Amino acid sequence: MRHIEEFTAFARNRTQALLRSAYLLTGDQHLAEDLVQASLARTYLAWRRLADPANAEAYTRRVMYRLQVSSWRRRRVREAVTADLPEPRHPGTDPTDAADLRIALRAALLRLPPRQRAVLVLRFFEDHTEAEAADLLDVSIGTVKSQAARGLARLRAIAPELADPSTQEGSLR
Amino acid sequence: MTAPVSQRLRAAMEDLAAEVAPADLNERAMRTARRLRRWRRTASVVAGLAVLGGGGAVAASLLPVPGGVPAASGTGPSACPAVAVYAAPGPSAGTAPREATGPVPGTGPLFYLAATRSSTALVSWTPGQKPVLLRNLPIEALMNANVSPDGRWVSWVTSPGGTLHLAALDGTGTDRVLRTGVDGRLLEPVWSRDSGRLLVRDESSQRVGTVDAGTGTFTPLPTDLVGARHAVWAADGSAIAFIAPDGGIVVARPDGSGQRQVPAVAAFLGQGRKVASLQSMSGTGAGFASLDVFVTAPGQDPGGCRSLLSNATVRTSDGRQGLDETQGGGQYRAYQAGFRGGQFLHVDRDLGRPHIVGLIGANGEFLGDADEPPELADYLLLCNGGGVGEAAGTPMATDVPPTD
Repeated sequence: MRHIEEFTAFARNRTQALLRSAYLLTGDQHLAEDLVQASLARTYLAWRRLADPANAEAYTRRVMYRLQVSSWRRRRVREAVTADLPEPRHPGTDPTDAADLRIALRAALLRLPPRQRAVLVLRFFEDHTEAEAADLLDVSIGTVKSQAARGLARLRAIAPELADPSTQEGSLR
Repeated sequence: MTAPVSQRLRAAMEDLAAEVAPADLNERAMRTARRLRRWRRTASVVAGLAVLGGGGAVAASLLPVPGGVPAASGTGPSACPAVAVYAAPGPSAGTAPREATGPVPGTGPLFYLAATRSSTALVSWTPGQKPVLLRNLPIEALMNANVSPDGRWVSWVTSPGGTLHLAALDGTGTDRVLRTGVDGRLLEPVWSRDSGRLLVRDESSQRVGTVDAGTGTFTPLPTDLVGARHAVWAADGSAIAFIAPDGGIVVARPDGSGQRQVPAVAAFLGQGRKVASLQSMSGTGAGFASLDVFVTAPGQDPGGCRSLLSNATVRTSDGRQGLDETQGGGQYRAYQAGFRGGQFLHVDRDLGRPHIVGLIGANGEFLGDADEPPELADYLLLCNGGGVGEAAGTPMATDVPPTD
């Protein structure tokens, strides 16, 4: 059962790195674990088809992002139906230190549409090019560009402390 | 956004991503893979039957019903489009077949909280209707607000001074201070099942007791609940459960007597997990109660405030787990759940699915479900209170607090 041993080694070595991205996508430990778990499961099923186990991480990340994309698409119409309720935000944020900035960022990311959130994570956390991000999300490069621009603009509006160097320079590590 | 700002965003993302706790998902992933494989085989068989004709009934019984919560034994993968499977608490959990999808029968309004920029929004939602913003509470009320079981009152505590507020939810706008010197941090006031009293800790005496919702009079329990945190009343009012100073779960009679540990905690501790909060407790008619709790992941800090998430159900008699996130390889997780009278209410907030509120009977039978409005996705369902009597089909309390 060599493929099981290979997969186990891969999963144990790369789960934490995958979780970091998943955490940014979901904003929640349990949801992140669910997402990585579901992605790893599909990678396991595809393991023998992977020409080179070295491709496993790229394959898993692709699955992870597409699972997110597919869930957005399923929920898209539902999300369009909104009531006049205040949008939740984490309480007690005083953006004067790094911990509060994390809270502000998490709250801001979660208020972005999931596709914009994913694009920002791919571009600014994983350092993918626009073309690579487009491939991973199965969208056009133009979509990545527009989603990134809109996402950054919304981040600026939602969490100005992330974008205002004059007030927050010292709080970022 | 300029390049320096991009760098700040990247740095902030790295900082945020570093929060995620390590997890070993290898076994969970492999179990999920086996379920996926089984589902794919089943789906292909069902599809074949449907194509051949005459298989519609079979297909309908096996394929997911949009927006539904099947009741079945075991658990299923969350991201898999097969079935979200529910293991209900109790000895006959998860044995009943799925019944028709529809609004939760007999469910009164559910109550939700969420922090907004400057306040805590209290929202009610009745399945089949649109959510309604009832009122805005102070921001700190997120940590201690509770709605009375009859759905007519909301209580919360503000600091400094531990001021216990009471406000009517009937549109009269009646607000008043019920008492001061009440602990709103560790033992958030929780309503008795008759909506007539609140279990609180008096900060001056450090005694746990009840406050009469009509007069504000504090009456200490004959036997104190020393160091109690995050207490809940049983759905039938027959018991109180709380987290003890040592992290264990203790169950007591309503007068505080008969305190005993629930053995589940030892198992959790053995797994490196801690009970962070109690969400709700069933009635004790079966000789034991089931507690809906939130248990941390191994190594996770339980934090100092209540959690409104739940991920495990334990029996008070023997600590047996009727529902746990780790069942089925961790694929299923009831993100919020609570007992309403003799029934079990849960919100399926599983990955990639519409959020669903389901009602499960005492014997594990599926009673009904409803799609939770997506705008409530980030709101917190108050499981330990509002609407319990209505949902359980029991008479509504009549001894509600008087208005000023």
